[in-house]
Amino acid sequence: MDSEDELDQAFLRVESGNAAPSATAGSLVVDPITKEQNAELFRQMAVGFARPLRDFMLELVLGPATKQWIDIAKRPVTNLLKGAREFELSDLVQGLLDFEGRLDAAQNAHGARVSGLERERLLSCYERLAQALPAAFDLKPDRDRREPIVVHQLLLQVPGVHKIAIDKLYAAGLASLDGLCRSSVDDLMALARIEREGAEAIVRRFQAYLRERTEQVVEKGEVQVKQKLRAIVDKLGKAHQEFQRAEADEDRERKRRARNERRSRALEMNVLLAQLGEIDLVAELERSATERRIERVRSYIESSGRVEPARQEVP
Amino acid sequence: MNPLTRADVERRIKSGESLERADLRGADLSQISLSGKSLSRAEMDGATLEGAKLDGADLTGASLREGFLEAAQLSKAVLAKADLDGAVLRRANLSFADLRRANLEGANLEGANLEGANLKYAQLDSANLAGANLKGANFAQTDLSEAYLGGVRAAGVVLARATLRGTTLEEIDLSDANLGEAVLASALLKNVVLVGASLDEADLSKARLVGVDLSRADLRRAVMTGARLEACVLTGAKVHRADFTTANLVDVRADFLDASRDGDDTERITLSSFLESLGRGGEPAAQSVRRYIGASDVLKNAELAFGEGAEVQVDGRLEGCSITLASDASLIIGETGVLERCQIKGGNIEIHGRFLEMNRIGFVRPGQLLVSVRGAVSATIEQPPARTRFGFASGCRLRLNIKDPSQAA
Repeated sequence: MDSEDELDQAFLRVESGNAAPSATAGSLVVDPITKEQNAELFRQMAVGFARPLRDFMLELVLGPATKQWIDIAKRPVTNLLKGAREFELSDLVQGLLDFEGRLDAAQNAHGARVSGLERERLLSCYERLAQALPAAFDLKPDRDRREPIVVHQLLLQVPGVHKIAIDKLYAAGLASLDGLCRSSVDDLMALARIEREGAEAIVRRFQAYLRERTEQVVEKGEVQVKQKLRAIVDKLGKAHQEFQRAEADEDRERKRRARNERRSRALEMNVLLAQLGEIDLVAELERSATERRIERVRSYIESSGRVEPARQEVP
Repeated sequence: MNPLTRADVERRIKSGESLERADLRGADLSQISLSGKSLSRAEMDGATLEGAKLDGADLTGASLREGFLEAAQLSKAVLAKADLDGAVLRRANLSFADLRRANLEGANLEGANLEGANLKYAQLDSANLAGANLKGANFAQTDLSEAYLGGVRAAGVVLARATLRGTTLEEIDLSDANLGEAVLASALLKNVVLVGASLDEADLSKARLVGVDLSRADLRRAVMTGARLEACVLTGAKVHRADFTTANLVDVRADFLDASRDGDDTERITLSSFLESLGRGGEPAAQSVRRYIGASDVLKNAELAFGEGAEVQVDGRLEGCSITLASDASLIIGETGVLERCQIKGGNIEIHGRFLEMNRIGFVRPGQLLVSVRGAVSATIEQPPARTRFGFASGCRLRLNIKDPSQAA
């Protein structure tokens, strides 16, 4: 048994409330030094277990999110609460209890989405969790890895928007999803000196993205992600075949259309993968030719059934 | 046979074996050093050559489709006729590389250095050249349709006869650049500086120009039909025979325009009078027919007829042709134009080139005949009853037999 398996088992024992009171093999010991070591292990492992919660909060930071997220977020909160109690991490216990209460309140509120006051309260409550255990709850590292890629790939999808416009947006500090999703056409024109046509197209794209994310069904998330990715890969494959046929026919206009379609599908795929945190895979795909890209994503879809437990619920 | 691996390539280099026509498809050759080596006709589709050193390498006819060549060093490399369709060449150094007739369709050349590179006849359809360095690069007769050229450095770039149909050019300084006879139909030009640029005979039909500075640009015989010019500057632009009919001018500033034939600023006009001369502002100008016979064109034994208001320019060669012109139609024989054994009936004729017809009447009842200093005419003229108006610049070469109207048959 490797050390990670040992840690997982220990964590599961904490979760189930079956931690052994004495220092028998494989159980948690009670002497202060070992207990502190175990508490430290718990803090480290909490990073992985809190991932669905971070995913939920990343959605909520963007705007209202579907209530289906609440069930997904509750499980890690409950589990982490047990561990925090076991190791007497009082700040964390209090933070998790408050957050759990807020989740219940949000669940019972009217509507299908977490929005308005409930959303603000959850965000504010989460702040306290991030202070109590930054490694597990701070959203910044995840955002820093995923968001620039998502933003860039979305901007590249906007017709007529190229490097000059993108550079202007970034220079104006409009490089975050939050910033771009909340900006109006006038904001973009005034802050980034982008002409109306381009600004309107950018606002349309980011609003649509926001809608897609807030409206997507997160229940059975893994299945859905697989389906969505598979659909995109299939379309990419078709576009590639069409590209090859158009090339053989020496039909430049068709070839151009197929190339654009291929590019759009690849960008779409990158957004989805970046959203999932698969940043390294996105980088790998960028270096790959289309056929290899298709093959690689298909194999990722097949293998993603064996992902770590915390990832299984990521939409 | 399986494609070669990186280890195979390194072994071959050590043993001095050739890599010409080598199968390197999909190989990971990142950072490899192959400077000066010959990889001509190598199959390298989908290969990774990130940061590879290929300065001076011979990649003639190599296939690098969808290759990943980010930051590759290809200075002075020979990539003539290479297939780089969809290749990623971001930040690659291609300075002074030979890319003649290379296929770079859909290639990503963002931030690439193409200074002094020769891309004559290359295919760059849908390529991305954002922020690339194109100083002194030769893009003559390249196809840049639907490509993106934003924020490129382009001093001294040659784009003569290039096709930029539907291309986006933004925030570029193309001062004094050569875009003669380039096709920019349906192109989008935003904040482009074209001061003193040569756009003679360029086709800008249906193009959209926003914030473009065309001061002193040579637009002679350029086609601007259906183009939209917003907030552009045209001061001193050379507009002789430029076709602005149906062009839409919004907030365009021009202190004056140069309407002289030779673009030597000897004939200044205002923008409004220029537009009026095109019959805009009420008079439909579309009735006038323009025909151009280019310098490389040759016509033999043809019978040509041009109606009212037609404007014909011949810079090519016509032999044994019969040309009939309506009374107000005009024919200009440019400096390179040569008409041998031809007959012109009617119209107004302006000769800067050569007209040679000694066996029969060369000009039948022309309304006007002007011969410039560079013109040479050897022919017989039959005048109409109202007599022909003649204008001969001193120094022109003439051997004319002018028949009186009473002598006409």
